[in-house]
Amino acid sequence: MLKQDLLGAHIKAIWLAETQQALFNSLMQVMSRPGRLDNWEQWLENSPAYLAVLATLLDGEVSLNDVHGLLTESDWPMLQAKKSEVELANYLLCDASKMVHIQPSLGTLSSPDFSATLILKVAQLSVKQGSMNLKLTGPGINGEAQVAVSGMEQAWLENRNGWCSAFPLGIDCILVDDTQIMALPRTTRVEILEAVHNGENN
Amino acid sequence: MGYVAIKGGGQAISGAEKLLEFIRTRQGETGEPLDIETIENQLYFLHSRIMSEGGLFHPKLASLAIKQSMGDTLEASFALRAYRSTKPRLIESPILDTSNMRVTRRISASFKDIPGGQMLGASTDYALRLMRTELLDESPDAFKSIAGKWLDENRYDEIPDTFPKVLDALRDEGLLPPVNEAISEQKPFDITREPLVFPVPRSAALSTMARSETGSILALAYSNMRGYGDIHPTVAELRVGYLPVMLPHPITGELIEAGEVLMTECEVVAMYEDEENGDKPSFSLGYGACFGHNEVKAISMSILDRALQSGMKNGPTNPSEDPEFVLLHIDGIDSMGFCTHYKMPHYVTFQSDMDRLRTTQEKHTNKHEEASQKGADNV
Amino acid sequence: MFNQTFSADTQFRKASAEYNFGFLDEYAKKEVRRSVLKAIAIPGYQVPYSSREMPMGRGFGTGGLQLTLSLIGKKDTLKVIDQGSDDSVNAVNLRSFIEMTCPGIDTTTKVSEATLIQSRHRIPERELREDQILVLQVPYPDALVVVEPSEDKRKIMHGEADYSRLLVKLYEDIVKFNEITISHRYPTRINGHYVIDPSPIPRWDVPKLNNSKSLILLGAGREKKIYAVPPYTLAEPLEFDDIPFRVESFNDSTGKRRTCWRCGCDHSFLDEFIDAQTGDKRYQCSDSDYCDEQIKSQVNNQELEG
Ligand SMILES: [Zn+2]
Repeated sequence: MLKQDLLGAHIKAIWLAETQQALFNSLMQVMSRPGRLDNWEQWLENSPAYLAVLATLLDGEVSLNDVHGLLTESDWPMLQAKKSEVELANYLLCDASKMVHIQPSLGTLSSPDFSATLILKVAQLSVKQGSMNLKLTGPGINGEAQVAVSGMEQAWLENRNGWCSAFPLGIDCILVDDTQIMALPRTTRVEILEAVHNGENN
Repeated sequence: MGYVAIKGGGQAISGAEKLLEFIRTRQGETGEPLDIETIENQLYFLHSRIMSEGGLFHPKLASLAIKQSMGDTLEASFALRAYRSTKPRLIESPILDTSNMRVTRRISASFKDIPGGQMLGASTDYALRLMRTELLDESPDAFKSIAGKWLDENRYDEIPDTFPKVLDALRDEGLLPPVNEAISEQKPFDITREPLVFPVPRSAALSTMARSETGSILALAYSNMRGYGDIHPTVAELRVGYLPVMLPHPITGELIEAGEVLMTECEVVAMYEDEENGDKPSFSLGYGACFGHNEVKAISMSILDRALQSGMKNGPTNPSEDPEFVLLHIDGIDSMGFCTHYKMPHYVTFQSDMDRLRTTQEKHTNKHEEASQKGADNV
Repeated sequence: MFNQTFSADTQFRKASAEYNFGFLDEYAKKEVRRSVLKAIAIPGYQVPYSSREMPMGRGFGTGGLQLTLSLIGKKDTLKVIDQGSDDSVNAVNLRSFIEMTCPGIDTTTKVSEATLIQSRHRIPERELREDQILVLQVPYPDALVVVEPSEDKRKIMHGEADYSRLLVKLYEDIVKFNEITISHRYPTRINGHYVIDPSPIPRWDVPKLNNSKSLILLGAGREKKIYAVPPYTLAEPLEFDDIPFRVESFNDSTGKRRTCWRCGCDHSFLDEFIDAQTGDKRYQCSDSDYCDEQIKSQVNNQELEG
C-alpha cells in the first residue's frame, strides 16, 4: 500500500494514484508532442504544477535536486526521492527566471537514459505571444510548432541547446507555469524567434 | 461501468483451465486434497526450491504454489514470483551476518577439524539410493511415531545455536584477503527494482543467481567444473540453517528481529591468482546463498560467483565467466516463459516468412532458367 | 484465503481482490512511466527497466502488458489484438486479465473506439489518431542481436549509431539470395539514429511507423526494455539504393492482387489458409476488425443504393 493511502482522507489529489495516472498520460502526451500545452488546473487544488509533475514521476528509487529551493520541507517525505548533488540527480527542479551555472548529467553514449530531467518553473506558457517566442521542430511535431514563454532566462535555453547538441546525450525539460505544462525533449530543435513588440500581431 | 468486448476464445481458455482442475482432482472419492502443511514438510526440498526460485520467503504461499501447479517447479516458482512482484518494497534490512545463523547443518571440505566442529545434519549425501519400498504403503501410525521418537532420543538442545565461520579462521591466517570494507558499505543492487545493465556489480550477479533455476545454474556451474573454466574450488563451509532477519523499526529505526528464514550458504575457496597491484597472493573466494535447503544450488552459485569475478576482472575466457551469458540464461521464469510462448500463434510472421521464401525461390528459379537458357545458347 | 476452493475459470477473479488497480503496485507503474518518458525523449533507444514478473509467461506479452497497466485509467477504452484478431486465445487472455485487474475500464474490438491498443504482431490497418496510443509486444528488442550477442557491445554500437555490421548482414543476404530475406521484425531506423526491432510485425506494417499520428510504445518484458516511436517521427526501414525495402506481395501468379474472400478488400494484409472442404487456398484480412468494418460499409452502401 502506498504511503499516501495510509495518510487518510485529507490528502491532496496530486498524491493519489488515480490522479497520477491522468497526469502521467498528459505528461506523456506533452513529451510526445513538444509545443503542446496541457492545463492541469482541475487536479492541482492550489498545489504548484511543478509539485504535481514531481509527485507523478518520483519515488524512493530516484534522486532530486531542488536547485532554487522551491520545495517545502514537508514535500520531501511525500515525494520520497533521494536528495542528491546536481551533477548526479535524476531530476532537477529549477526556477527558470534565475540563471545558475550547473552541469546536469547528460547520460552516456551507451546509456543516454542516465541523464537528468529538468523541471523548469516559468511565469507563463502560451501558444500566443510572450516575452520569448520559440519555434520548435523535431520528432513529435507535425511540421513546426510555436510557443511563447515568459519568465525564463534566455540563457537557460542556450544552455539547454548546448547540452542537447550531441544526441543521444542530452537532457529533457518539462516546463511548467502555474497550471500548464509543456515539454522539450532533447530531440526538439528550439529556435528563439525575434522578440515581437507588444501590440503587433494581435 | 466497464463494457466487456467479446467472449469468444475465452471459452477455450476456460475449458483448458477446467481440464487442468479435473486432472488435479481426478482421484475422485479416494483422493484427499493436499494440505499446505504436508507440502511444506513432506515435500521439504521441493518447497525450498520454490521459495528460492520464486525469490520470496513465504512458506505458506510456496506450498500453495506447489499445490496449484501440481508440482511443476517452474510454474510454482512463477506463481510465487508474480505474487511477489506486486508487492512494494517498504523497508530494507541491513546486511545480515550469517554467523548468527541457527545452524542445522554445516560441513567443510577443506579441514577435518573446523572451529565448532563439523555437523552433518540432515543430508542425502551418503544415503544409498535404494527404493524404500516400505514407504509404498506407509501406515499413518508408524509415520506419526517417527518424529516423536527422534525428539525423545536426541539431545539436540546441547548443540550450540551458532557456529564461528571457517572463513574467519582462514582470514586470520592471512590465507584470504581481508574483508573489503569499502565494498560492504556499498548499497547492494536490487534486481527487483533495477534492470541489469552490463557491466553489473557483483551484488547484482549474486542476487540474480540466488533466484535462478536450480537445473540451469547447475548446468552452467558444471560446465566450469568439467573444464570450461578452472576454478578448482574447495568447499570451505556449507551451512544450512535459520538466519534471523533484522529490520529497522518503522518509527524508532532500532533493529528488531522480524523472523528467520531458512537458508543454505556456501563459501568456496579457489586457487590464488597473481595480484597485479603487488598485494600478497591469497586464495580467492566464491559465495553462494539461497532461500531454503538447496545445497546443489548454493554450491553451483559459489562456483559461478568465483568464475564471474574472474570474467569481470580479466574478460571471460569461457561461457561460465561471462556475466551476460550466465545471468541472462539462468532465470527459470524468463526461460520457461519464452520457451512456452512458441506455442502461441505466429500466423502473421509465418505468412511473412512464406512471402520471403517464395520470392527468393522465384528468383532462384529464374536465375537457373536463365543459366540453362544461356547454356543452351552456347551449344 | 487458503481454504477457499477456486472454481476453475475464476482463479484470477478471486485473487484480484488482493491486487492493486492495474495489478502492478504504484511504484512499479512509476518506474515504467519514467522509462516511457525517456523512451519518447530518445526515440528508438531501448530504455532498460526492472520489468516485474506478470502472472503470464514471459513471451506472452508481459512487456506490452506492463505498459498498458501503467498507462490505463478508468476513462480508457482498450483494444487487445493478437495476429490482427481480438478473438485469438492470447488476446482474450490478456484482455480478460486487464478487465479483471482494472475495474471500470471499457474494452472494445473497434479500433476507432479505442484510446489504448495493445497488439502482438500487427498494427491495425486503419490509420491511428493522435489521441490513440499503440502498445506493441516485443519478444526481441534489439535489431543488432543477429550480429552481436553481447548487449554491452550492442549498447555502444547503438550509441554511436554504428550499424555497419547489420548492413553487411543485409548485403550478404542479397549476394546469396538476390533479395533481403528478413520477413518480419524488419530493422527500422528511427529519427535518423537508433535502429529498432519494430517487434514481429510484418513488413506490411513498417511504413505505418513513419510519421504516425499516434504515439507507439514497444515493451519487451523478458528482455526488460521499453522503447518508443514518437508521433510525427521519421521511421525508415534499412535498405539499399538498388534493392529497396518491399512489403509482402499478395499478387497471384498473373500479377493480380488477391482479395479477401470475406470482404473483398484488395489493400489489406492477408492471412492465407487452406479451405478444409475444397482444399483450395483462401485469403482473408488479417485485421478482423477492419474486415468487419468493410463488410458493414458495403451493407450500408447497398442499403443506400437500394
Ligand atoms: Zn476482409
